[in-house]
Amino acid sequence: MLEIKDLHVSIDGKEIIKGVNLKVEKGKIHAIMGPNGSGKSTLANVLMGHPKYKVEKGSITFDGKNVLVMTPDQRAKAGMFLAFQYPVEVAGVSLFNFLRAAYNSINNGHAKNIEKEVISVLDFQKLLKEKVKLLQMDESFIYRHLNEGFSGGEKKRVEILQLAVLNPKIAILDETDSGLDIDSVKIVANGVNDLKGTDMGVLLITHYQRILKYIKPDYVHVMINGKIVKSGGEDLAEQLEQKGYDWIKEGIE
Amino acid sequence: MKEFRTKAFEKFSTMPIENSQIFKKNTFFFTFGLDKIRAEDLVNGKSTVDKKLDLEAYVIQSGFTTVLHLSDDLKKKGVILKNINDAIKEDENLVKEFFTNKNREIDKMTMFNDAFFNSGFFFYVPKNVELEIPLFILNLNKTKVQVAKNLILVDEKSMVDIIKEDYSETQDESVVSENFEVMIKDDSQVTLSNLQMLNQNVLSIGNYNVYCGKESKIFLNMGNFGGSKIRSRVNSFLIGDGSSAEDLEVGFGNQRQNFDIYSSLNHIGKFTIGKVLSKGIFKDKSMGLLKGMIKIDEDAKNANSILSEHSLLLSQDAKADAIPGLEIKTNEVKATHSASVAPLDEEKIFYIMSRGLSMDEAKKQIVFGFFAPVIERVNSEEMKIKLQDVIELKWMNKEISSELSKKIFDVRKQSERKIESDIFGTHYKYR
Repeated sequence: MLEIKDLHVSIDGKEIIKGVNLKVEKGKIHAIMGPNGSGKSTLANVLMGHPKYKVEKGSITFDGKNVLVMTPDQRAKAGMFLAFQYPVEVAGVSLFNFLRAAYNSINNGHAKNIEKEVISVLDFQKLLKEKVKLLQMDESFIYRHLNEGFSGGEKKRVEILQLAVLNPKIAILDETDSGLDIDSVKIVANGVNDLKGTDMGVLLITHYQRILKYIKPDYVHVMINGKIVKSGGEDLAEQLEQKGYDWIKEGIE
Repeated sequence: MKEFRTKAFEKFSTMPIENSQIFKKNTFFFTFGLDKIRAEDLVNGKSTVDKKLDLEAYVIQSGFTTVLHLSDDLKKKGVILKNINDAIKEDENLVKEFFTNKNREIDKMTMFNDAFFNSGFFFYVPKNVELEIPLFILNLNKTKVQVAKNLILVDEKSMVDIIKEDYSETQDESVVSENFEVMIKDDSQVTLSNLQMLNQNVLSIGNYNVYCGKESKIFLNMGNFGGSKIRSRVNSFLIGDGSSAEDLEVGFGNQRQNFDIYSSLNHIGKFTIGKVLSKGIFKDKSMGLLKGMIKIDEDAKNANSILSEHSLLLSQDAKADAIPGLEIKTNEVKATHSASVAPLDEEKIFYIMSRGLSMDEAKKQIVFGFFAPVIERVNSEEMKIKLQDVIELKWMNKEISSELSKKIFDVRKQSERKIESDIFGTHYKYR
């Protein structure tokens, strides 16, 4: 489904990703772990088309289509979703109106039928309230301005709420667990697991092993200094938890 | 009157365009284009107005022509609405106060208005009268020069809303100068809303002075959208103890428009509350200056004043500045100000686009979100809807005057056919 081949990425002339290869299939969960500054978040942003990063070499394809020529909104319409590490505050725009606009835009994109309004205000309200309950959030959230004045944990939950509502083919979760207390990690993980049955592929970028207790990965990759240096199964995450990253670093050298 | 005008003319000729030292270097209007006015334009401004509105109280101004309508019901209550020249002759005791007002802020452009005004109205609301329907002022710019002076006197324990809309019916270069003097007596409340939607060849000059008596309230909802050069001065004088003012300013510039928007809060009485929220968005090659001033007098103990001016730039060629000023002459007051000018945030655009919205839609979300906190505060439902309408048109780069004045014609036709629902009729029932 998502295929990354020999990807090289730079920012302001400095190379950050130095040849990444990765394949994410339908319904599979891939975890990418690695120390700070290894290029994990850069990978997430590049996949979604952040204008700041420059792809120097390599390719990204999604369902056989060249992602690199697509704008971020086209990628979203193709079925890609990024849960941000630092969700942005958009003053004066209610979560409800924003998500409804996004929902309509993405689903029109799928159906290629612009004439048709995909969902009525009432139906959308119902859908949103269901998902809010799933993430154990207060209903009042949906009428508040997007991320404005939300706590770090609330912002992360809202990211997963958006994921649940927009129902993409692949979800890229960029450090969704960082800054969350253990209860919130469980809630967020439940939200993701709930969607897994829908063939959604997941690229889970994380620092810590703890979220992997609740979201069971099919594959674990270790990224260091812009490269995936080791891949394995669930047990690799446990090894990392015990031995840290130095063990792998030494192995490379 | 002749003496009043002569003195004003002298001051107009000698005064600098900007009095305050703080703002002196920040003004666009060095030349201002007033030199293009010929003497005959100042006396030949007759215009025909053949419009009627199905409202209890309205004014249609065009050139030097002022058409007025007041229902018999309101006349019986003692409300007065008449041409300014008639009022000066017939209601001297009521009008006198305006011409001897020591609190009034004088600048070059008010002096221009004093010297040359040749149209306008006087509106009087007597004690204990609450007007359920706003006074509607329709300004149709189609002559070369329009200089209007409007006096509003609201006596004690009364309440009134005033809504003004400015449209152009010409694409020619012209000058529209307006001076509103609003006097609010004790325990009264006035809401004054203004939508300036003139064409982009008009020099738009607005001078609004509001004087508040004890425990009185003024709400100002000011939207500046049209004009080539726009100079707006809104001064709230909180004279009576416990009086309050809330001044909301919204400006949206595109093409080569220049905005110079000034708001001041003048705390004179004790326990007065003032608030200015000013927001501007500038596109293309437009420029905006948002100026603000808090003045607190020696005797204005326990004054509470907030001044906030924020601009968003939508293009690299657009420019803006926010300049807040404070003059505080006593302790025991609270005064805060905030100001910012920022370009569109790339991270915000990326975030919104990553949810499937196009670049254009993402920017639109940010623009509407930027204005939303001000629009939410507007205390007139009709004004809220109209502001959103105009911002939408402005966003689409449409000529707002021609787009919206068409609707006004539709309303007129509807009322001639005696169809009940029209945009004014329905919206006015909100209160």
